[in-house]
Amino acid sequence: MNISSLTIATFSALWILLLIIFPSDLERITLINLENILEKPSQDYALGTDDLGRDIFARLISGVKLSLFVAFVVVSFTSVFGTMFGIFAAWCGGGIDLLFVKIIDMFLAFPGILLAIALTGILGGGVQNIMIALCAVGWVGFARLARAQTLRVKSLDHLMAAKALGTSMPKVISKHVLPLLAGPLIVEVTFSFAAVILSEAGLSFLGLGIVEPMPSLGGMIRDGALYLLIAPHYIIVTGLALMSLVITLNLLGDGLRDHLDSKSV
Amino acid sequence: METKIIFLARLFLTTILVLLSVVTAVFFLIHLVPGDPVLTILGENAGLKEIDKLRQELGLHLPIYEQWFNYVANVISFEFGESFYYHLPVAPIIFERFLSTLLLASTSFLVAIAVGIPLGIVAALRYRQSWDGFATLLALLGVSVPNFVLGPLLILCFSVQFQLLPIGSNEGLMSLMLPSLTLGLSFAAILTRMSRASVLDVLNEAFITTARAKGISEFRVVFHHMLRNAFLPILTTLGLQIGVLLGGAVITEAIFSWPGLGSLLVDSIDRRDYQMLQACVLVVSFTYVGINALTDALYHFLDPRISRTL
Repeated sequence: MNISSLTIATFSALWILLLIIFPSDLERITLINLENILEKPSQDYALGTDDLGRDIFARLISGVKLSLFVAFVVVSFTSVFGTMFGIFAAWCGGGIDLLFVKIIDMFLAFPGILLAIALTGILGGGVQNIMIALCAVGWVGFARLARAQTLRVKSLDHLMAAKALGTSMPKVISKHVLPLLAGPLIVEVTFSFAAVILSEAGLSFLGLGIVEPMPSLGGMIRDGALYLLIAPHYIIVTGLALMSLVITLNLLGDGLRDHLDSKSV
Repeated sequence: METKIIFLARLFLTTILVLLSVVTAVFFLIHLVPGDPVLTILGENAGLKEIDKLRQELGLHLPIYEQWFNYVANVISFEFGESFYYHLPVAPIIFERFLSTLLLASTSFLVAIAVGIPLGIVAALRYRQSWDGFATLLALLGVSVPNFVLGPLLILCFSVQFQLLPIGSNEGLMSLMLPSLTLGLSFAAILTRMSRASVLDVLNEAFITTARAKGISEFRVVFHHMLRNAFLPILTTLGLQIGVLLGGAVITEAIFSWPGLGSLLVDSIDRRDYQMLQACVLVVSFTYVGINALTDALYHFLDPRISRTL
């Protein structure tokens, strides 16, 4: 067992355990206690309290749960939609492919998180709008990957044979194309999961994402940054939590990519 | 020479097409704004006559394709309208902010190149040794620690603990340091991974073995044979990855209240200043598309194999 799989195992086990053991206790998350704001970690509060005297640990746990939920919904949608979009473009070829590529290019012309920022800025914050914005941006990666991979495998002999035998297009795609694409797509899902968690945190950090009093990692990091001088533990623990989540997912992606060797498909 | 002209013409046309689709996307994005824009400007209690007058002025009574046409025409002539918040034309404000962002992005880019490329090369040359492990670990941290965590931590370290660098944005060159480090280090991580992979790709090529067999010094093998070939793939991905830098600038500027386009964009969202918001989005995207077109052109001029086969 090498270092990276050890890290993945430790972090994932830790997070899964934490998320299972500690339920989202709505009262503990939202209970404002102005008498002990920004307290250091103690017996009552494992990670101290925030600027409104709320339990940082409890908020962290439910913030992570919310993050994972958003990421799960977004990646489920983007992976399915993007993959179908990409396969369809490559399979049809010609004018349709050209049009679809232009649509993809249009989305790629907005650098990084910019389009998601503009979308949430216009639609307003909240869990639902943040998911819409991240879905609108996230599918492009899958579409590009699926299109490129389909173009590669499109002219393989057994696919031509299936087509020549009169197999219907949906069947060829589901039985013959998708299994060939599975490796790189799984790797992309892992990286995309990490990317969505980071984007959601980024949007919430800017105050465009999940709104108070609902806890979110990005929002907590923003508050932590405000009280950097008085209560440095606030931003350190929230930052470390986000980091460990993303590192685990990125390591998992790297490991899967090496294992499946998606380059050779 | 002729092939180069054809290539440039084609690149120019596709770039124009992408820019046009960006403008169209932003045009429809603005139509997603909930509520009637005229009522937003005038307030709920405006009279019917006033509403009609402003609607005519803004051209909102026209059919959607005419509105689109006018919009594109305005963008081409840099007419971004007037900001609802500043009550001033948008274009000059944007331009000033743009220069600020450009300054931050360039210094961050330099940080990223100075850190990322050497680290990636060393990692590849010492493949699977401790230096490689160290560089890979740093790169993993760099892509996993978002700039809104790194920024405050750097402030905590350099400004609070050791009091070496200022936090604010009005202390000249020194105040550029922390934002550039924040933005540059995450980009450096991407560059490290890219250059490591590119150098590894050429490491086992036959021409490297040949060069070594001829007895050339190791320095010459690395710099003349290896890096010249590894450089081109780095360049292509560099253009695309600039998007990470430009997108990251928005958040970095917000952390350090750096007076650039990014913080203006976020502020405009808070102020519901959609005129300003769309101009910011357009300018940042145009810059990105422009940089990509430039890298494309550069790549084709630097790689003799491509210009010969085109």
